[in-house]
Order: sequence, then structure tokens, then C-alpha cells
Amino acid sequence: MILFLRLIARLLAFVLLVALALLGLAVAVFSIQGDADALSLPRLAEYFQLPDLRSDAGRWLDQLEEPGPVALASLGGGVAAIAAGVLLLAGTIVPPRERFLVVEEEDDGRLAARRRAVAQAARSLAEPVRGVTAAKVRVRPRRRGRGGRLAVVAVHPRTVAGSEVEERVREVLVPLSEGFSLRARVRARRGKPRVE
Amino acid sequence: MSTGGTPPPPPPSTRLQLARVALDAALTVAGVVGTARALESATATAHDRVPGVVVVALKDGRYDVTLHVIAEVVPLHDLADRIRERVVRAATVAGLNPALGPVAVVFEDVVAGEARADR
Repeated sequence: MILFLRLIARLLAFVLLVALALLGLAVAVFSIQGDADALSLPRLAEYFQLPDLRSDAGRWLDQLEEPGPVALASLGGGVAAIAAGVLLLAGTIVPPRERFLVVEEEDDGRLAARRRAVAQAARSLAEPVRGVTAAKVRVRPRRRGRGGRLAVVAVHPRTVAGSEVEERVREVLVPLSEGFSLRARVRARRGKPRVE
Repeated sequence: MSTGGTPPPPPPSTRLQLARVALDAALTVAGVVGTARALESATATAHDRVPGVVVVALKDGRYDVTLHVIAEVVPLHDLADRIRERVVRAATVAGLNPALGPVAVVFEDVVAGEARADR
């Protein structure tokens, strides 16, 4: 969730900065001339239809002062804007927390590992297996409790059967998957032959 | 007569002593390459900082110790048990065993054995 909010906040910040830069450029260009010449600020305001916008906003604010559907809609809009602002702030401020893979949780201590550590261990076990040219590993800890999932894609050349590779990799991963309460899923994928 | 210099740092707290003892003990275990360097995985005071170990006081007066370890490619479960044993033994030798609470081991990363010399 926080990762998603962070992504949205960054994207929005980028878009706003680009918009601000373009607006600044436009203001700079339209400051070259004065009065109502082609490159003057009043002309820029006309291009953006600011006078019309001002009268529209004025009418809308007049309606807002009286009870009615516009006031209710604006109240809803205001609340939604506040909520969106809070979420974006959370996306900017709250650091993303990586879920640990919890292996053991006893009174005398806890054993846990980052995904990266377990993935690296699995890769180290899978890559030396005969017929494997590369291994891609993904670890997904459970949201609550111990263990998680271990997904391994073993890349092999055409000369080796995929089922054999899957079997061998699954065998070497048994100590890791049992030790860390991981449900291992191994998939073989044909790739380019290893050149040595 | 005043010396005029900065006052000497206070003696290390039990928390800091435990952090140092636990870190030193963990680093002597075969299979441990190093510890995490991040700020959030360190025990710090105004005068000192012990990276890779977080020591937190518990309600009962003991301290929870969490070691953030970088390990070699070895069976991690067994390694965690060895680290715990070594930490408990070192705390006992240092006279800190009454203050030692649960010892948690978090594997931050696993690296190839050759990397040990670099760290």
C-alpha cells in the first residue's frame, strides 16, 4: 500500500514539476512585451481564458454560499481532497516497510530473514544444479505467521529436459524450503545454452 | 584546577554493553560475514553507536537483542542457533546474562564466501 502511494506521490510530483516548469517558461516568454501586445501577460491570460474562468468561479462561489447541491458537492470534494492529501503525504513520509520472512518465533527469540537473503540462498543452491544456466528466485513471506512462498524459475538449455531440471532443483531446495517453512514452486524455462 | 576540556563520556549503559557483547560474539561465528550498516539496525547513544544490533529494553528489566546479520551461503537455521548460543555465552561471561532477554536473528543478506575478506 505504502509502496503504491509512494509511486503515486512521485508520479504526481513529477507531473506537477513539469507543469510548473512549462508555466514558468510561458510566463517568461509572455513577459517580453507589455500592454496587450502578442507576447504580454494579459494576452497569455486571454489564451488561458482566465477572464472567463474568473467569472465562472465567481458564479460558482456565489452558489456555494447558499445551501444546495453545489454546497454538498463541494463539501464532498473538499473531504476527498483532504483524504487524497493525507494519503499522498503518507506516501511521501512513511518509509516502506519490507516484510520479513519469519521462520521461528519463540520466547527466547525470533529468527527472520529479508527476502533478498533467502532469495540469494535459493539462487546459490539452484544455479550449480546440473542443467541449470540461471535461476530467478522470488520470495513472498506470509502476511501473518511464519513461512511463505518460494518461486524459482530455472533456465536450462534445450539439451536438458525441463522436468529433470525441475526435479533436481526441487531436491536441492528441500533443506531451505523446509528450514524456512517455504512452499517451493519450481518451474523450468528453456533458455540460451551456457557459453564457456 | 579546571582542565577546560570536554567532560569524559559516561560509562557505557547495560544496553550498550549488551549490544557490543552481542555484536562481537556474532561476528566470531563461522558463516557470519558482517552486520547491517543501516541506521535503523544500530544501537546508538549520544557517544557511541553499535551497528548491526538493536537492543531494546523490555518491561521486565531485561533487553531484547536483535542481530541484523549478513551471512555466507550456509544453512541459515543452524547458523542462527549458533549465533544465539554464542551471544548467550558471551553475555554470561560478561556478567550480563541477567539482563539478556530474547535474542532475535535477522538475516539481511546472503553473500558468497569470498566476500568475507572484503568486509
